[in-house]
Amino acid sequence: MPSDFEQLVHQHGARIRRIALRYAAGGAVDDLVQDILLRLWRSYPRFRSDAKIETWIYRVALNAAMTYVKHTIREREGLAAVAARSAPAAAQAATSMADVLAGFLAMLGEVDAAILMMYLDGLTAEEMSGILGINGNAIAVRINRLKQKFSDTYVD
Amino acid sequence: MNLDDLKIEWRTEMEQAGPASGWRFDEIKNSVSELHRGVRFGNFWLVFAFLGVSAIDVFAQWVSLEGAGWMSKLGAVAWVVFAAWVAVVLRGSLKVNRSDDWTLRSRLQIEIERLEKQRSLWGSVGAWLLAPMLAVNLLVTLGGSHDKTGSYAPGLTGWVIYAVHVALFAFVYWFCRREVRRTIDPLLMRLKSLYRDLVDG
Repeated sequence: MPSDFEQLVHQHGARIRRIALRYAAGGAVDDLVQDILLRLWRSYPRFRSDAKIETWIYRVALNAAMTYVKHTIREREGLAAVAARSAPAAAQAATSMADVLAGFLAMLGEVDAAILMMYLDGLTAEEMSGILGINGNAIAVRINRLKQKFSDTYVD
Repeated sequence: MNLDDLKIEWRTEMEQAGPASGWRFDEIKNSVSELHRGVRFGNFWLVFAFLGVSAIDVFAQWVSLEGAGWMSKLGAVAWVVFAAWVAVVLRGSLKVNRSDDWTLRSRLQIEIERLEKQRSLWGSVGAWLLAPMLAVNLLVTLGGSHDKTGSYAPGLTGWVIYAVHVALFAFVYWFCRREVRRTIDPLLMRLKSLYRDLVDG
């Protein structure tokens, strides 16, 4: 395995792990991380060095996450129901920004969570559009909705 | 506090180095090869079983049994044609693009397309697998009976064996329909809802 790939993965390790944490739970996080790494390695030869690394990582990681979501549908529905019930209490109890970030990500649906992570990572609407396959205006609308939802949950 | 305040927390998390020691880099290469093998040789054992049965039947009717009648031989040929047909149908069900860097929208479309293919394949198992297999079985049973007794009407044992086959096929049919209902349909619904969430917001 080329060392530049290994180095790249080390540099973006926290990002990969964060994406996996959002779409998997418990011990399955490591499996999803491994699946993302595997897919990154597989698509690495096609990665153009002029492209933004974050864009490539999100694209591949979300592909892996969606396959994972498909395989774990039953467990995920149970977890989502628990998360929805406990969301208001969790929002009240959040004491640090890390708690707020984790809580807000957990409360969102799969697509909104992906948009939020990319937004926090500084990706433009155009870059997100290239990853998600929907137009930039739709993304801008969704980001505004996310801002509103965040204020409703954590500010009021 | 607003959403942009989370950017600082996010940046802090991203600046942390990845837990490289826990990542099994050496396993990645092997997994890639396994995955490629899995895609190329998916359904291998099912196809192998059909080809095996047809090979045994051809051997029995054409080579080893002297005096096998035309119906037994026709049954053997039908097995070969049927096994080839199953191989083609199963191979076709694997033909879905598996690239890792599609847009999320395309990825969802691909997954939906794959599931719809599976749904239609296993939902119509009676038409493409069981009905022809039953017909081939009938040919072999009648031919076998004629070879042994000179009459096309099988004896009690022949009918019992045929009835067991019919019961087995009925179970396979029921099982496939159940799998479609319990596994594929909920997945398909979930993926379609994800797709709608992505496209319609």
